[in-house]
Amino acid sequence: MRVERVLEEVLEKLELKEFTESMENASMRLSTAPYILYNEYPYLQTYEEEVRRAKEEVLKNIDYYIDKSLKSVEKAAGRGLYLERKEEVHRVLLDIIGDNNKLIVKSKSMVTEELEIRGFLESQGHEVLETDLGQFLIQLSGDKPMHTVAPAVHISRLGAIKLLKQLGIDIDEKAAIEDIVYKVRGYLREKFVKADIGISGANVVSADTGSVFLISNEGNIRNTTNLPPIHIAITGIEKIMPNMELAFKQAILQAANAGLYPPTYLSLIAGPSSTADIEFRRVYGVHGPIEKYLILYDGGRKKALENEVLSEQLFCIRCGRCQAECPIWRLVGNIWGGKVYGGPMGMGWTAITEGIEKAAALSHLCLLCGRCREICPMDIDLPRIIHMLKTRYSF
Amino acid sequence: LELLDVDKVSVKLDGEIVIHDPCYYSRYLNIIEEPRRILSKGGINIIEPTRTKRLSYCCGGPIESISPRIASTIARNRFDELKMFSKKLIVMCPICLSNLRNIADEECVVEDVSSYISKIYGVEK
Repeated sequence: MRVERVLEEVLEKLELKEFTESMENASMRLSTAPYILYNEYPYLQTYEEEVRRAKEEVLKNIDYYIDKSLKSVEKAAGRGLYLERKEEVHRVLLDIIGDNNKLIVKSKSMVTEELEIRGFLESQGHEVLETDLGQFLIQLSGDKPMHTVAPAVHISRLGAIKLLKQLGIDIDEKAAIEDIVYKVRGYLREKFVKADIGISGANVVSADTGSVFLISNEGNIRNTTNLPPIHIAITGIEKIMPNMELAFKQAILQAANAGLYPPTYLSLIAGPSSTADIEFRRVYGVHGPIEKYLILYDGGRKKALENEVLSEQLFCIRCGRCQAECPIWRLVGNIWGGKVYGGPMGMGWTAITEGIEKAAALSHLCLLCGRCREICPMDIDLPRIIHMLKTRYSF
Repeated sequence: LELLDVDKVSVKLDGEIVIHDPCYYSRYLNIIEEPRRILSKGGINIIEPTRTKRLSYCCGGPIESISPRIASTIARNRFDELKMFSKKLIVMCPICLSNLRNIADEECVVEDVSSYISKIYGVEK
């Protein structure tokens, strides 16, 4: 990839007034919210250091923590797998899902974007639906998610209405945002009940219990992970935390830095649903899923641990706060980025998941202004990573 | 800025200016209070914009060699913020100076800190 091409894509978007205005408005709100929250809930500040130290411990002993997490999942009657490559994940998913026309509901997850799970499962004849409202709109528009937490920041009210109309949903052009949301709720509700499989990411995994922590405000994650008979959680190995307490702290730190605090829902899923009410014999699959899977995905992460500069990116809790503070990201969102990740943290993540060469071309748009480093709750020296990437580009 | 002796400021100016910290001084070198101390001693009333000190906002200049269009869009965003606070802007970096001057409207004055320093130290009348 060349710098010229990166620049072309960015300049193209810069001409779209509706797009840049939506971006600026959303960025303003995204960047202001965490300051107010930290003021109101000062303990968040103390969590930063605790979580950072815990991550140091986990990344230093990553194999131990992967193993421990998987064993804990099995102990809780779930199935845990560590997989290194995308093709392996695809194969395992087909093994679990089967090959005849299943209905799959999905919650938003960047790792599943990395793995191109929706496209893959659709190509195998399954119907896959994104259930996060923003991601649902992204699926309809065919765009790239523009922000880790708010993927459709660039889509306006009217834009959303047009997308729903394409789907055959009866909605008026004058409809308020409330009406749009209500229509989507109705459409997806039926799908949740009928779905065969629910796929989610994980905000955090607790190694001592194998529990998955998931944050949501829409409530879609509860439906996705609870209504279908099978739940599959897929996440990167860097999301492991040593224990429940630290996992909880990381989860709410991420929520606050994304400007959403308290998160409306925090789901903690430690295995398939079960009961021992009859004759005190444990039986799995009651109201929640009968089967639960956790897939820990490498996808270039362990290799990045060997790179002294790039390994810092693995401390990222993916709150997206650096994006809202970045002068370039505020203009064009994740258009400035790789296939999945964009903005300041996106440079490092693209280097990890798609290779240093690709990220090197992207990095030349960075101003190295350093605002991202200033506000990163994990204290990641993002300009240092980006500077390293700049030196890896050959003109 | 780190070497200047504040006690040797000899001329008092008046008026108020809005200060724009360059990324490099504030976030990389941690030179934040030095210019403020000197300018205050020279009688200048310094106004802080919303995004200031370690959270100052880039002028867009560093990307000018790659894209003047992006540089001026960012400069516009920053300039519009600064001018809400004062029509007199003070900058400390040659890139900020040229990039903000490029888009400044006629009613605003963008000056480098050195032109104020030479006045308050009595070097320039």
